[in-house]
Amino acid sequence: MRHHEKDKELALSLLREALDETRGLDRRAFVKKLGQVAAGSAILGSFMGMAGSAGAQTRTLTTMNWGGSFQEAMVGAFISPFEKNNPAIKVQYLTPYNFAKLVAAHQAKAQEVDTLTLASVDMLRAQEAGMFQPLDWSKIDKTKLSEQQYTTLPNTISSLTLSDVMVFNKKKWPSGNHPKSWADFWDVKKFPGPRALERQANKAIPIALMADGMDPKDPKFYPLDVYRAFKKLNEIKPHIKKWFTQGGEQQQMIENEEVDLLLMWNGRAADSILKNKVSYEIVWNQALYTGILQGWAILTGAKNPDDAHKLLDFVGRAEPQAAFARLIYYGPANLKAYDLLEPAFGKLMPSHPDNVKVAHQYDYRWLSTNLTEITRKFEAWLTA
Amino acid sequence: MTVPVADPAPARMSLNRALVPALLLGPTLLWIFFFFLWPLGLMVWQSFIVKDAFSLDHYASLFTTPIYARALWTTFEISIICTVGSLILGYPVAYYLVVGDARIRAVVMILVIIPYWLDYIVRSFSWLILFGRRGLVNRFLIDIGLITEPLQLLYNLGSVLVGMIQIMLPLMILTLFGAMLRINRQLVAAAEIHGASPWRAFWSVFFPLSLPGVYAAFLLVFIISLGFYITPALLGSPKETMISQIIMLVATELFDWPLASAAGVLLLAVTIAVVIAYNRAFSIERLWGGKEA
Repeated sequence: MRHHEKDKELALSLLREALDETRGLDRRAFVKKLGQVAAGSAILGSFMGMAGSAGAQTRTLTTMNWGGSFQEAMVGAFISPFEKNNPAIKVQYLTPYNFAKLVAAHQAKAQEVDTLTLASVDMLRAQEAGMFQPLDWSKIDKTKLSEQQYTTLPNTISSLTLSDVMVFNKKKWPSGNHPKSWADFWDVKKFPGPRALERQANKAIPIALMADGMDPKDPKFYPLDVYRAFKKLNEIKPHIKKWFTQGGEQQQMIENEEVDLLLMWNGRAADSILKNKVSYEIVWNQALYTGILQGWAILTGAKNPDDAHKLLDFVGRAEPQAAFARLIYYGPANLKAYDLLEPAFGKLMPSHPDNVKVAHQYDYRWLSTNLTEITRKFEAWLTA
Repeated sequence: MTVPVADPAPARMSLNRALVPALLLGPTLLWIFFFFLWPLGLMVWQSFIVKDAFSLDHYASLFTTPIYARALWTTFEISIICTVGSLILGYPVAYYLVVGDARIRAVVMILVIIPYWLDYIVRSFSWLILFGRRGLVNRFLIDIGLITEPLQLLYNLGSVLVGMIQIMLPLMILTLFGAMLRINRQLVAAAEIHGASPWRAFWSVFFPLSLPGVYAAFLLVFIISLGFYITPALLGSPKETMISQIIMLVATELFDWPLASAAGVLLLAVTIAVVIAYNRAFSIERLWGGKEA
């Protein structure tokens, strides 16, 4: 395995330097440092690249992602250090992430994308549809990963964790007496104020059940009791000012104080709170946690599986995982990454043990087969 | 290189007559065939197939599931109001662009065209900032003491319409302007010479002559409105869900492509039917250089 290490050495050392020297500082400082160390290594990088692939032509590796801040983080933590170390490889991005498109390409046997991170529920759907090719573990160093990264789903490397969290306006509830659970979210008398939720059945239904008193860790949480959830959702419907669909809308809503209480993707919430200093706060209690399903895989029919393996031997490691968290506030799946993060920062990560303890974990195995059905019912309920 | 003298050879003339249009139109026609008609055909085909056999099941479920019929109805409703609104606001502006003071006209023209260049999403987002709870409009109304609590201006039919009309207005104005330019304004002058008041001359002469332009602009704006997606998604509530949002949902979240295709085909069929009926009633082809108005 030693001969593979050369592909990563430079990239890993760059990230380590940037992480160590800005430990405890904000995102901006990290981005700046990352740029500096990358620039400082430019000459070294091209030298190593030439040595490593003398005479080799540029090869393309195609990925797909959600675009926007997600792409920025992906490039900063994964792609750009990797490319610096492997100048013969040019990584291409397709955006936005569109699973339907990947499925269509798979069915037409014309897959354009080599490797990518898929959304949790799509990981299972893709697995089922035979869209992942077997990983060659002789090309990927397992000892650099947390065990959970390669045992969660065969032929994938778990890479990031997300939570959907409740976020409240601190100006409205400055004392300790603020909404702390989904039952409080539903309590419009005790906590009056406009609210927003995401237009997603798999989020609205579990939070309604928790608001109705179900224990987030209840082993009978799934199959979701849809009937009970809609009854509970009827109570809150008139108080939901917006059922949003886009990531940007959530941030716009707290940055303009459009609503006082809402569900948000934890990364978007942290971005607005840490970077744009909005006075809103995350409630980790009863967060909807993805678990560590979401990760990298190489697609069946990939045109460049060799370089895809090279990338996958890199992205799961502690350094890029920690760098990704610093850039976009989604939690690492590699628990070794926490050694490279300031403890206070680690507490803002969905995969932090304290946060996992109080969260509700999605059951994607149930959702992957039932999501379309509950979405149909949810949309009918919503537009009625 | 020699300069060719005019060649009267008839054979060559006819060759040119066939070749030139083919060369001019060919690339576009090929493009339209491969990237529009062919996929469109596939989509229509897909919408009629259930488990490899011909079936109308997808269409049946479109009509029997309330959510689709409702979205289609909402789409027509919103599009009609949006088009009428754009017409009422756009007609006077277009008229001014034809008859008004030249210098002011240039400024107005720029004001009409600049928003036309801006992206739909940017224009939709800007309403979120203007109409928000802490937005400019609410803050102004509170400052002048008209209200004490902010009004809910966003996420309803009103905000969707404002957003859509703002986007469609330039198109409405420019289409009307183009049609009005072709009106012979000496006819208006003639009416006034014969004693008609300016108002009377406008209503009896200019306005009727502008109607073909009105019909054409109305249809154009209406059809584009039918396909709106991002504006109702950003500015509306679930009640203002339009058919494009539903098609997107069915295709990307329910993964039911045949059903999404059927919804697309249905929208297309209804749109074509509207165009045909509309053309029967108002014969808009006159405007595109058919029979003279």
